[in-house]
Amino acid sequence: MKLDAGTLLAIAAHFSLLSLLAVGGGNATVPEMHRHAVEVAHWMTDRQFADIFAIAQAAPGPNFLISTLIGYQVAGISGAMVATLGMCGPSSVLAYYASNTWERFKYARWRIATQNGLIPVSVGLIGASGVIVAQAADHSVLAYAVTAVTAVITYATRLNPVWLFAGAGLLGLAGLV
Amino acid sequence: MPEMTENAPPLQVPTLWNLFISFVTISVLGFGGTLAWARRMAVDERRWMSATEFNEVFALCQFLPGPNVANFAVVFGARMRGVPGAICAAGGLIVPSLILMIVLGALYARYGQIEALQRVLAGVSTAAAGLIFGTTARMAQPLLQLKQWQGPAVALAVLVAVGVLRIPLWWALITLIPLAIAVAWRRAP
Repeated sequence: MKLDAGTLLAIAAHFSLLSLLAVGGGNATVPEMHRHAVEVAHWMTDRQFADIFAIAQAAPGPNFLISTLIGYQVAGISGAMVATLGMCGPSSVLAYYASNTWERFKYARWRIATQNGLIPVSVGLIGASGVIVAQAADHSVLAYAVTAVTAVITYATRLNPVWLFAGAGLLGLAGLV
Repeated sequence: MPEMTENAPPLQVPTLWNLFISFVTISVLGFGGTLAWARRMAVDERRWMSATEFNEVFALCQFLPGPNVANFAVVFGARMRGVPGAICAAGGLIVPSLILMIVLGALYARYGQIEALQRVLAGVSTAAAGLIFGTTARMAQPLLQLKQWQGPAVALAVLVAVGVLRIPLWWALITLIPLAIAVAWRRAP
């Protein structure tokens, strides 16, 4: 992969935009990351995207770090740093200024409507991320079954996801999914 | 912020170093959802923020675009120690994970083609997808409990538009966010 200023600029532009579109947190932008990285810019294959998503989810730390891994995949260490900064920078600046004015509009109708209106949008976006990752990751009946069982356990219990990842990783190693 | 319990010990103000180290800890320990760790640190262990104030800041950080926990680090750090506080908290959150991700990215670039590792990752990614679906169901629960069809309808429209039809995110947001806010406006007190 050639490393030039143009590539870094493209990474910075992509993730800075995503930073401000991330309604409902970092995982809400996974569909757009996938669309751009796999289908538009051809930075990686579907398979690599699923791998990278799995690594970012299974590792400790905030889940927006998938942007760091995509940046690394495209342009090495500088790509990783530019992507992370792009993903956190614009929204952080916005958060800093918004926190000072937020209190003033605590009971304003537009603020309540905006807040309530964005909740279903973020639910839909996180669900869409699940669809994108499942389509990239699941290629057998058993794989779909693992996804379904993991979903039910996550919904119904407080089991640490590390155990789910470990179990699914072993099933994978055994060649079952 | 008035304290509800008169006997509760007074809130403390962290130093910049405290802020940095606390968010390093959150970043390193935060498997699956760093915000729960942030709450434990800020409210329960260190008593830097009351539970009420945490909930307000948390709501703000969820509402704003961007990674929620990064927003939280910035807003929390800024309330404690101004701009330097925000930088220390966000730096503590990001730097250790950034280093870890670069190491994992390098390992993947070097060994990602090994067949055994491919199989393990294939397994883990199926569980990662399930984790997201489970989280979605949890997030959807308060919407379903309202017993109004509009919220779930908006969520479903977004899911289909972005996840199935794969419409670019900005197109979906430009059209669906005004609709979602209009629906919420009519229900607002």
